[in-house]
Amino acid sequence: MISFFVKHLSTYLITLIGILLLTFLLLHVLPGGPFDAERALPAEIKTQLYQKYGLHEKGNDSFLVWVLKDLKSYTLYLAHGELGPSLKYKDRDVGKIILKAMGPSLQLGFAALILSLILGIILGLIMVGTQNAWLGKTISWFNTLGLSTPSFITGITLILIFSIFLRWLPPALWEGWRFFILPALTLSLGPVAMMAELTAASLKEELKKDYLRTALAKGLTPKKIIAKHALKNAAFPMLTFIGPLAAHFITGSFIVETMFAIPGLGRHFVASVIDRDMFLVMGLTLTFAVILMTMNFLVDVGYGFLDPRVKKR
Amino acid sequence: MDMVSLVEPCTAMCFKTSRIFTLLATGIVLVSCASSKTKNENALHLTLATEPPTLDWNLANDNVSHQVINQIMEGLAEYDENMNPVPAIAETWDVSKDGLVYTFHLKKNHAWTDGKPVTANDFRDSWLRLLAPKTASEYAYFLYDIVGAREFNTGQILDAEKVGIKTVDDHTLLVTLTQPIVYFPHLTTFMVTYPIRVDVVDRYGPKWTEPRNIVTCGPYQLTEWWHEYRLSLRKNPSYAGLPKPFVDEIIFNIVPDPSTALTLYDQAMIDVAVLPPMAIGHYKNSPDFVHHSRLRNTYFGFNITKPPFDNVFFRRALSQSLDKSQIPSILNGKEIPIKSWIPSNLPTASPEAGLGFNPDLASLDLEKSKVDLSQPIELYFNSDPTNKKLAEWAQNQWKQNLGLNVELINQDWKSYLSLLHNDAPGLFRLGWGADYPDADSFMNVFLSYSGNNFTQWKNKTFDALVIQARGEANVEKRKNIYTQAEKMLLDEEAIIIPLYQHTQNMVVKKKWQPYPTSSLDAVYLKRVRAIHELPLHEPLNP
Repeated sequence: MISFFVKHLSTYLITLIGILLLTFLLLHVLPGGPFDAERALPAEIKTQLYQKYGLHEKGNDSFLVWVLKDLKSYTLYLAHGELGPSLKYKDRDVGKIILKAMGPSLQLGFAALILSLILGIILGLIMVGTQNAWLGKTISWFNTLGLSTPSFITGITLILIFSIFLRWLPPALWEGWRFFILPALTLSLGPVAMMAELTAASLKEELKKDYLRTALAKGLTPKKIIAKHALKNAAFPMLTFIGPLAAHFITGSFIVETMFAIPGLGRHFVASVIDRDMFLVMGLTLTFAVILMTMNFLVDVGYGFLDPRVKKR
Repeated sequence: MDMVSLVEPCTAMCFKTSRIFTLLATGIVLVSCASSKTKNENALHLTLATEPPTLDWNLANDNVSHQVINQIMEGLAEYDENMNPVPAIAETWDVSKDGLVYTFHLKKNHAWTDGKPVTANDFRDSWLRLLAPKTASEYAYFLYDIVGAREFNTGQILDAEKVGIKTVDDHTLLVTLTQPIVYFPHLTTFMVTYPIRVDVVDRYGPKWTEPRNIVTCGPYQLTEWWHEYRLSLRKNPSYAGLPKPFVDEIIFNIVPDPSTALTLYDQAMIDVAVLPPMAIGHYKNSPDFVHHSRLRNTYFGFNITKPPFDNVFFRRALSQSLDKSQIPSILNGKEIPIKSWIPSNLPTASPEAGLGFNPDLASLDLEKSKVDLSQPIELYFNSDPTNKKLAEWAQNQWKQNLGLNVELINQDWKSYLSLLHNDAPGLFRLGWGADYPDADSFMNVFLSYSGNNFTQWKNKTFDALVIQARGEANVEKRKNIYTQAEKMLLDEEAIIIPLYQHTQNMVVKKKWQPYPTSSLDAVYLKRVRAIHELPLHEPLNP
């Protein structure tokens, strides 16, 4: 078990450093700096700004020297346990910006994840078990729709129906649980469809296996056979999908958060690059990478619980 | 037994679960309908397009921060409805005969939200903080016309006493300029020059702008700042200025998408929404529609060091072959086509300057230029749907009227700025908005030494005229000087092609009309009134 942890953690750490270095490098390759604005700043003021944040203008330095100088400043921030200051949101620390924005993203992401899992598995089971061809086709059609519709179309459609025509739910903002519903549905429609398809496909595959016949012959009830054996073994592909899905949900969605005016993390992913807010981009990359790796790690651990053979390996 | 039939009982269970879900959803919807929140009737609900980057007015450099700061703070002067500077914290001001020394006499009853009086020293502290190199304010150059200011900002002088900002007593501020500037009172209306309490800044450090720490002196005070989501302001009971604010509470929700803001407006969840161009057609006949011009222009500029744009005849040909009257129907934003550079709503505008649409003269100039037309020219712009439409329109116009082939090249905003600063392309699109409502704010862009002049055009006569106009108090004389300068810039040399003046199009709930507007986007919300409720509250001008 310890070697399992050490092996995974060391791989993750190396990957993380690689991702951060690559992002840092790309940020320097990108033309335009954080203090470039429509109103050109006098050179002396620009220099003061770079100095204030411990950054450097390229000047006559070679590209490598320039990147290394900035990298040194960044590692100093990290060494102090900070993610650095935001270059756009003056006087605000990147760590605090991320923590603050993560709250709404987590709430929304968690709701969307639960919705995707429950609805996805239910629909998958119905697809496999129903004798009603019409129902099966309808679910398949819904899945195709869910998978092929981009979230901004889903969001607009839901707002149109539930906010504008029916006036049941608010079209945007983040004032309480009523405000969760439309963004959570928008965010989860695609994953519900994906989960339903995965459940149906893996379950169909699993049902072909002989051990289920044996279980039936031994007198186990169909409910027990499906819930305890077939579904458990069919959960492997679903589990693989859940890792990145959870990371995607937790870190928010640019489109859904912008459309519903939710103060989440997703909006920052795009805006920070546009603003060349270097420390914020780095902080977000770090956050996303760590969350994704944690989720993948949990999925790996989950495999062990689902299948003791994996644990032994 | 078919193994698939094993799933049937589970499917039945799923149907049951689905029914529970359906019931739950119905319940949610019913409760939602019943629990619609009631709005505070005397609260104004507005939106901001982004999170304000800062509420530290010495550091702020953007419109969003400006919209909030303007409500919680006040400066020496503010604008009246006609964009003239009128006293705010200053009671009066006078200027010396040589135009170099401004003396501001402050009102004695203005106080900070913690009860301390606003003094001349608070202004001096603020201006020196704005100029201090360690503040690294992007707007420090705003005060460069004050004696010693630039030197203090660049660290050439360290003694603040050598900067021309002095206090005579608690209520008198003396400012000495390096050259006469007739529009100097305009500068004192801008947020970066508002007074500051350095003791508060020092005590709380970077957190001094949080609601629990901030000390302000405007008509409203900050009560809540939920970063990235909402800012709430409440009427400042100790505000001594006029008019007294009418609205009890102002709530700014951060809504980045204009379409979302419009949906919120239609659902009566907010009171004012800025219209995206696509929506103007739908709302333009509504009684809610409010429209006004802004002090912001868009132009095509030439880098005159790059062939074929180094040829004045070629530049004139390009300038005269655009039928700008088509722009409003192309961009749909109620744009005002322009041929001169200074906006017509400024008193020193010279509408006679600039080249109009004349395809015949354009063809003649093109012939004279002897430019090789076999190679297409390139038009650069920053990626944006409106800019793309504008560039495609120009491409079509030049093809139609001159037979020119134009290639369009776009880049993201920061990359584009970097390109302009390092190696401006021969033909580029750019916008310019005024910091203060004076012709100088537009004309100084093309001074030889201006960092915003990407055309590489350096003309000493033009520079001298613009500098001369700064100190000319007589409006007619000033206008003549600007006319001369504009004719050089636009007619003789055709350094830029002014295209259109921007407008602000919005919808405002009837209750709050007439809503105060500003060509500089500097709205004072203390002037907002709910007309039909007025008799129940205080009069407009107490």
